[in-house]
Order: sequence, then C-alpha cells, then structure tokens
Amino acid sequence: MSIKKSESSLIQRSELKQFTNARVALRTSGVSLCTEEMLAFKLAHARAVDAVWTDWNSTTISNELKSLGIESLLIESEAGSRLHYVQNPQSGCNVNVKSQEIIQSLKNENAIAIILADGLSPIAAQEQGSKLIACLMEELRTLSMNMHPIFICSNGRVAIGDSIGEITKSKIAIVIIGERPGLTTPESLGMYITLNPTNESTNANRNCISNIHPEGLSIEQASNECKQLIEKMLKHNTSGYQLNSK
Amino acid sequence: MYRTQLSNHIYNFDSLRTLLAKATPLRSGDVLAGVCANSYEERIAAQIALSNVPLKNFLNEVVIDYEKDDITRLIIDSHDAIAFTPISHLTVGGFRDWLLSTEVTNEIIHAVANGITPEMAAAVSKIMSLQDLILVAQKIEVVTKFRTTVGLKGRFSTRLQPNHPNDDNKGIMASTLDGLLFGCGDAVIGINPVSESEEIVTSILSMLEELRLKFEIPMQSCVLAHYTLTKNILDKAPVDLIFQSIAGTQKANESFGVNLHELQEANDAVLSLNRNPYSKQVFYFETGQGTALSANANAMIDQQTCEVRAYAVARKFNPFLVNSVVGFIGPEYLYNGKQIIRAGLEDHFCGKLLGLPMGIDVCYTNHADCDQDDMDNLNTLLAAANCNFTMAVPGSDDIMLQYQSTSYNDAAYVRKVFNRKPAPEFELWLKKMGIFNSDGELTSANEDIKKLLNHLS
Repeated sequence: MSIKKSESSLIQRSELKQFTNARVALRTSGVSLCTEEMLAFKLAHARAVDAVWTDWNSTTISNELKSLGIESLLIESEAGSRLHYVQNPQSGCNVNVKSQEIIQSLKNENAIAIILADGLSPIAAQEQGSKLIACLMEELRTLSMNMHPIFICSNGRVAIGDSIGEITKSKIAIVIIGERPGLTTPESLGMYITLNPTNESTNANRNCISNIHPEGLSIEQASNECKQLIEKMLKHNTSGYQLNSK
Repeated sequence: MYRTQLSNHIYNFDSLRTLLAKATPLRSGDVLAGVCANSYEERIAAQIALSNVPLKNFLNEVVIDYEKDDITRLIIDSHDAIAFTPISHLTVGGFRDWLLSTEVTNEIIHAVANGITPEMAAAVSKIMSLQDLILVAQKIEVVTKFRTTVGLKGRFSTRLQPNHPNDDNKGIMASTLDGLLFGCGDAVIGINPVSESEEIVTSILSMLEELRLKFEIPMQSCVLAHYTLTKNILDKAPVDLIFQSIAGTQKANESFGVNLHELQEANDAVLSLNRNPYSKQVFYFETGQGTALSANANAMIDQQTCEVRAYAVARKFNPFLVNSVVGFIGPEYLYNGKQIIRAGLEDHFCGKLLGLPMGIDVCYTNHADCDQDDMDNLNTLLAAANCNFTMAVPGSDDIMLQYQSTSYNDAAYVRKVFNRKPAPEFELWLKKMGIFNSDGELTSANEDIKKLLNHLS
C-alpha cells in the first residue's frame, strides 16, 4: 500500500484512514465524537436496521427474472412473519406446507436448485438478486446440468436449501441470501453451495462465498467462483470442509 | 420437587434445573429452548421457591449428571467444603441478603469463592435486581497481573480490538495506534483473525511484539485463534496469552473442539515460555449466554446457568482475562437492549463472585432490538459495578465481525465520568509518551506521538 506522506514526512493521525476502513481518526470534541461523526454512525446503524426489517417484494424479483427469460417460483419458509423469523432461526430452515406442494413435482437428480432467500438483508436480495442469478446461470450453462426454476423464498435461512434439496432430490443447492448487515455494508449477499442437499446436511457440508456487494466481491467474480466450486464438488463427490483439503 | 403456594395456584417444579430455568428473568433464548416460565406469575413463583432452596442442595442435586458431563464433575470435585462453611447454612434468599450486607466485604467474599458453585451464583443472581448485581459486584476486586495490573479499584482497562476483514497487518496497526493514542489497550491488544492460519496468526503476533519492544509498551497481545492452533506455533510466535471460547456443557465444548485435558496442556505449554514475569496467568477466555443452545447442547438448562457453568472451566485455569461477549450471539438469545443489559450485569456479577477477572463486551448486532443508547447504559452500569475491562473498537464498528461494541471514546468517557485510570504501568507509559498529560487527560500531537504514528511508514 502506498502511503501519502504529509509535508513534514511524518504520518498525521488523520492519515491512518489510508490503511483501514475501520472508523479510525474520528474527529472529537473532548473525549466524545463530534456531532458530524456521531450522526454519521447513527445513519449507518439506521440503514443496517432498515436492511433487516424492510420486506422485499419477491414478485418484482420474479418479474425481473422473467424479463431475462428465467423462470421462478415464489415460496415461503415456516416462519410466517419477520418477527418470528428473527426470534426462531429454525423456522426459516423449512419450506411451509403450501410451498412443499408447489415444489413436490420437481424431482430431478441431475439438477441444480438456485434459491434466493431474503435472509437478514432482504434489501440486498432485492437489489442484487436477479442480476447475480442471471450472471450465475450464464456461468453454469457449461456444466450441462438441468436447472430448476429459481426458488424465491421469503423468510429463508441458509438451511432452506437442505429442505428444498430433500424434496426435489437435487444434485446441488445454491442458496443466495442477504447477509447479516454490518454498518459499512448493509446490502451484502452470501452464497452457500451444498452437494446432495438433504435434511441431514449441516454447515459442515457447505461451501460459502460471502461479501458479495459492489464494494466487495463482484457478481461476476462470485458467479465464477461458484462454478469452480461446483466443478470441484462433482469431481471429488464431496462438499463443505472436506472439499477445502482437496 | 420444589413448590410455591400462592393464593390462587400451587406451582410445582420437578427439579432444580427446571426451577432455575423458570426463575430466570425473561430472555428470548430460554423461550427458544422451551425452558422459560409460562407466565410472569410462574416466574416469580419460581423465584420465591428458589429463594427458599438451601445452598447445600446444590451439592446434592446437579443440573446435568455427574457421569455425563465433565463440567459437572469439575464443579463437584473442586468444591471447597471449608471455604463453603460460612455460607453453608444459608438459603439462596439468605445468600442474597448476606452478599448485600455491609459486613460482607471483598475479603470475606474472596474467602468463600471456592465454596460457591456456578449454579449457586446463577441462582442468587436470578433473584437480584440490577442494582443488587452492581452493588455486590463493585465490592469485589479481582486483580490479575501480566505486564500490566488489571482490576485494581479506581482503574478501568480495555481490550483494544483492532480487527481487519483481511487480516491486513497495516490495517490492524493503524487501528492499534489510533487506540493507543486514546489510552486504550491496557488489558490486552487482541485481534480476532479472519483466517485460522498459523502463518497469519504468527505474523500478527510478531508485528505487535515489535511494536511493544520498540516503544517499551507495558502490554500483552493475543490473536484469538482456536487454542490448538496457538499451541502449535509456540516455537515460532511470541505468544503472551492463549485464547479460547468456552461454554457450560461438555457437549457444547466438544462442538467447539474443546476439552479440559487439552486446555490444561495448552495452559502449561504457554506457561513454559515464561513470558509473564509476574504471575501464572496466561489464559484469555470468552463466553456468552446462548452459546450452549446454539450448539444444541444446552441439556434443557437455562442459558444463564449454562453461562455460569462455563466460568467453572475458566476458574480452573486461573486466567488473566475472562470476557463475556454479551450481545454478539443475536436476538434469538437476547432479544433487545433490556435483555442484553441484564445479561451483561449478571455475567459480570457471577464471574466476579466466583473470583474471575471479568470483562464484558458491551455489544449488539444489527438484527437485535438495540442501539447505542442501550450500550451507553450498559457501559455506564458496568463502570459503576467496577467491571475490570471492556472492549475498545474503533468508532464502535467492528468491520470484521460485523457488530457494534464499545469505542475508544466510550473508554475515555468512563475514565472521565467515574474518575478511573488505566492500569498503573500503562498509565505511566501514556504519560511518558505524552499521550496523557500529568493530570491524566488525553493530549493532542507531540513529538513522541508522531514517532508512534510513524511506525506505520
């Protein structure tokens, strides 16, 4: 990293900001943050909270995908409400009865299931979801595998992919999900990939690509990484932490 | 069987485990686990029944079987019957009154500490108000010593937490220097690594060691990697403190890859480096309510009792620092500011009562119903309770762990409002460097500070 030296050739405290995105060298009054810094922090927190609690519009995403020639299905977890979802993580891990009926008929053992879930940042899924899916579908085309329609799942957690995998007998589940928002990145997506997903799958069976947002990992990079991971999973017939040592 | 007869209803509680759970002030994790009281009245009925339970009962009725759980075995086998004698005739309610009485001083509490089991501490805390938790905790002075002395009355220390999302050495150093210029870091400079890599952990520790030696800073450093990793690098890295997250059941610890025998080996291995000139305290533990439940290993015990059982593990190793990361785990365990604040004060009180050098990570995630006002409250209440240390994160925003904790400014606020000083060795260094003036106030730039900043170039 190149360092911009001040005139005296010594580093000034304010120059610490060159080295990290952490909130260093904040301006103060006495021991406290000055007004501008204090309000900037509150604004960042407000955005992060809004990212958790703002409902998404899954129909809009479905329409966006349709205009790109991509089929999708709207489904829901067992959570029922956002509040219940936040307080009971397990309720976001299974599809509800109505959604089970919708996907029941889709069994295919050579298919990839892509699930877009709101997770803890519905805004992230709303903003970036359809673009990421379009890019990912393009990448995955070379794998010559069947694709399920995209499952757009409200109040879903990462393990919703296992529940869907169990019902559809899919070869691969890719869960694209809004990540728990941080102050600097309230709109970040994560991607969790599992080989042979079933209700017995655990976090140890998944591989994760995280931090997908305009200032982090790009949609193109993430899609490409995902394809490479799937190729590796199919080659070694395993996923999760066991894949890391291959 | 325990029972409370109220005018309209008789409440029965089938075991001490159930009674403890039902007596626990409301929190989302116990609701999630299905162990909480079914009504407010049942909760108070349980508290009434619990207040009448003799402390002696806790030695005969355990919350997980002795045969099934190594922490239960540790608690029972290490119980000091002689230390217990002065309180052995008391009920839980009587124990609360005893702790609050003016005659019971720091020395008296220390003398009985090894006679108090985690379940006794948890039980009494459940029938204490926030004010009680503060009043008793502030009496208890637990002092530990490495290159700095932490926990003395009139002192307030911080763990400087300069995390970076890519483990970038210069990024970590920039946050470290900014924190030192705020007078932070006297408990430890501790980094949570993104990567569990021996090379990266060694590189961060070596960088901090160079800083320490160059500027003769009385400080300790720690990279919070799994203890098995730290144990592997002792021949090549300057390891002051060994870190581990621990929980309150054997099964939960197993899910973290933790066992008591290996913790002992790791402790002994770090001690053999002889880097602590003043004591045999080389462990840094972290805990947090909800940990056991998150590993599906709570054994139907309420999350606060599980938490205090983890302190039995910590106590076995005479640690330098113990930190409950109270709001990190998320709203499914502690839903809002009210629940986080109470949990923070409970953890601090119970830890101190058992003789541990407690610090609290005053923190929350963005999906909890909580904001900076709640953190200001807890930070202030913990200062009143004489908490040994809190975290110091640049601008409260941990850009690696994605949560909010206390800031450099929050530490300076506590020092000012409560007239607290950093650890004495560190205070002297701050004055020598001109970071503090002779009155202990933060100063702005001078030549030595410029030298410190220039360490980055």
